[in-house]
Amino acid sequence: MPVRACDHPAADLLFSHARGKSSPDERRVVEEHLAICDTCGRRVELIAWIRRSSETWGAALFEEHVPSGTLVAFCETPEGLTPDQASSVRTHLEICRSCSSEVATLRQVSDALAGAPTDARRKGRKARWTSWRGSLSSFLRPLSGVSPVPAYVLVLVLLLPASSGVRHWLDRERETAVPEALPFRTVTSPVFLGSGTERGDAEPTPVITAAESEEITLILQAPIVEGGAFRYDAELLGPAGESLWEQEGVQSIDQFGTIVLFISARELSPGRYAVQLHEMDAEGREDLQTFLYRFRVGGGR
Amino acid sequence: MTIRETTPSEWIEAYLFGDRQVHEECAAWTLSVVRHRAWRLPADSEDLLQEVRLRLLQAFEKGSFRGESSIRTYVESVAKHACLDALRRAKVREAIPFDEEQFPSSRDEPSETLARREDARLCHDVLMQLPASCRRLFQWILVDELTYEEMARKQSVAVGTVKSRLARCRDRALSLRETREGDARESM
Repeated sequence: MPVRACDHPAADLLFSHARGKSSPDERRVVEEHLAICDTCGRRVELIAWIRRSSETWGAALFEEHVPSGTLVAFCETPEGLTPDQASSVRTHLEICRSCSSEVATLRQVSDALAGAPTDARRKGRKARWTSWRGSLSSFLRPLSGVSPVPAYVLVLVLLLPASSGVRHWLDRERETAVPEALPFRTVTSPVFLGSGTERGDAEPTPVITAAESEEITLILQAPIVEGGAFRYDAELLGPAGESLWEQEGVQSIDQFGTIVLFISARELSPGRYAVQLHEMDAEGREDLQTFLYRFRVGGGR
Repeated sequence: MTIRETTPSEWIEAYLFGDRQVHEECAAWTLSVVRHRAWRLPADSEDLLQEVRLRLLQAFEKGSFRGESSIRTYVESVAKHACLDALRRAKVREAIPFDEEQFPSSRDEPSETLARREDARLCHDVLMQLPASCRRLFQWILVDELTYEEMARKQSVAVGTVKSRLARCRDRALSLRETREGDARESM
């Protein structure tokens, strides 16, 4: 069978050859070709390389990364996984650098939250303390004359009030660093409003009871049109259908079309309201769909 | 009644009602996870805080919290889950050395060498960059040892289509592998 350099054997022949499953004739043809074709030589070597790893690791070699929830469970509550699941995760971690680095990160965070110092931090702290103590001893020895111990005590006595003040300041900073939590209600079951559709007078739910100083967070879900480039414009409509507020280009926070809107309750007197969500094309020229989310604001607290 | 005295179900009810104190407590727990520098996340922590709130809302409304841990532990787990997802979206990977003590080999063969495992890791890295359809084809032919006819039946396509897809996947894997090996040589 004549073979030219550009006559690369079919993929199945190369696969069979790399797996050692070709017939004598096929083997001869492929080997003759490999003698003159570097590209196919590299292709065969690649298949053999994958095959070697798959012989040891099996299907685990081809599996997707461990889902993030499973990884968290593996680190935090391994008893919640079945033995097979745990074994599968362990096997995956042996060959997946990405997931194993994520596990290491999870453990770092968990250790920090638990207040347990890691080995590295312990060793680092000990080394730093030893070095610090040595420097302090060298500094204080001439002052104390014989032993640095009284000097240590003196330093501690002087530093104690200062450290209390620093601690108090740190506590205050930590308190103010927490952002003000926003109470929210979820507005669910959007009403799809196409062109020419009547809105109807069904009792809008849910009811939000808003105090004057509160901000309301609304979480909406808008179906995503597949394959399109688009954006959302949101409009708040008052009890008389008047436009109270508009925001262009609101973003979905996830791939499910979840949108979060913050609305100041100060402007909302009790009554019926609606958020109208316009799905526009990417240039904002064409209105593709409109969704309506109703809610009612009750009396103040 | 203070937050400390509430039962988990009362806490969840207060959360769903929008109790400010409960939300502040939840935000503090969430931020302690989200703002940890170990994640090295480029995303704004406020975005992540919002994502965690949304997941908690969905979980509490569905009754997903089964009381097997404290509320705080549950919130922190959800936050870690969200951070991991953000990490994967950002494709940020920190090169932390693999800890052999943490994950000893599950294989009994004494001949398992470090070089072979490194090879397997590189192979896995390359395969993860391929589409799932390519990985599936490789697994079928190299692990499950399906014939081309069997693969064609599974995918409802002609045998010739399977072979041409396999060829494309093979060439893509080759290109990825050679790129990675080239990068590794340059970095040495």
